Parts: sequence; C-alpha cells; structure tokens
Amino acid sequence: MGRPLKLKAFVRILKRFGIAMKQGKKSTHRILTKTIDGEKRIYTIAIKKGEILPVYVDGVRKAFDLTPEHGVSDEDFYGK
Amino acid sequence: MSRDSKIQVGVIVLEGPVTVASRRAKGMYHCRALQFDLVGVGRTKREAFAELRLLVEDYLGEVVSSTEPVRFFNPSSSDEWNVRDRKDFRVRAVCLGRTRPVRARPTSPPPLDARTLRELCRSVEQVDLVPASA
Repeated sequence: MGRPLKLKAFVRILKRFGIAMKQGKKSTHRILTKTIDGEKRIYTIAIKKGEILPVYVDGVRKAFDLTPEHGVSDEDFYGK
Repeated sequence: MSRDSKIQVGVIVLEGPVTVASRRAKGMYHCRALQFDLVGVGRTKREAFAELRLLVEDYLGEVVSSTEPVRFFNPSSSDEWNVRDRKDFRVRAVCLGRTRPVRARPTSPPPLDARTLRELCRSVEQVDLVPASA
C-alpha cells in the first residue's frame, strides 16, 4: 500500500514522470494522462482534503507502469 | 449522398459491462470499477459509489476528447477481482454525438469501447452505473 501525498508533492512526482494533470468535472477530481508506447493512458482520481489517498497513489503507479515490476522502486517514485 | 447515409447529431447512449467491487479500508468504503481500476472513496458505500460514477464519467470524457490511440481497459489486480462484495453493472454513457442513420440504428445501445465512443461521441454528458439485472 502506498502512502498518502500532499497535492504539491504529488504534482512534483507527476512532473518527474511526464504525467499531465487537469481538473475533472468536479473541482476535487483530476484526470491524469500520459502516452506510453504510442498509447494514451488515462486515470482519474479524487483529492480528499488536499491529500492523495494511498489507494489513488497505488492506482496511478499501476496505470502508468511506475511499480517495482516496471523498474520503479518506491524510492524512485517518491524521491527523497 | 442518400438521405439514409446522412449523419445526424443528437443524443446517443452507449452501454458496456462493469464489475464493481466494494470493500472497507481504514474506516472508508472503496468502490472499484474492476475493468478500469478506478476507485471511488467515501464514508459510506453510497458515497463511494457516487464518486466512482463521476470518475468513470471523467474517464470516458477524456477518452472521447483524445485524438491518439487510447488504452481503454486497465483491469484491476486479481486481489481486487477476488473481493467478496462484487456486483455487475452496466455503464450507461449518455453522449452528444453523431447518431447512426435511422435504418442502421441497432435495437440495443452501441457497445461501450474506445472505438465506438470516439467514432460516435463528441462529449460525454452523463454516466450512470445501472445494476446488470435491471
């Protein structure tokens, strides 16, 4: 299970991995996108009290191949 | 161009199956659409489900507005598929788009997949998750 992230830290991680983020229909929802191997991946999340819950952090990692199985360790993902 | 082959702009409804798994974690409810791995979180199951519906709506809206190929399905891990509280639904997406000519219109809604969505829809107006048995 991932760890919760403040929005600012989360945005920093997304930038590092080239994932674009925009607002969804609801102000607390976000649409994340990245094209991998010519195919666009999409993932949508909700922000709760300015935080990204672990369930969404895990979902993002899986959707964009940012898991240890794809060579991205926790340390690589979260950074220092 | 014959009258029948003209493309009309109007409301179109697309439907596709989705399985929703519900579980409690750390005092919150999680409702997960297993075919897309999208998760709604809430203090109640109803709240989590309502959030999931909106996240699916955003997801499909982004598929429609994309010009490049899209990976439509992103299945959840097997752990999530094995959750006990699992229910089958139909995603019913109401879109504005190009409806098929009257003669070619199918009797059941067109399938919900990336190709059909992008071919027929300009925007996703509303998404409902309807029990599969309904």
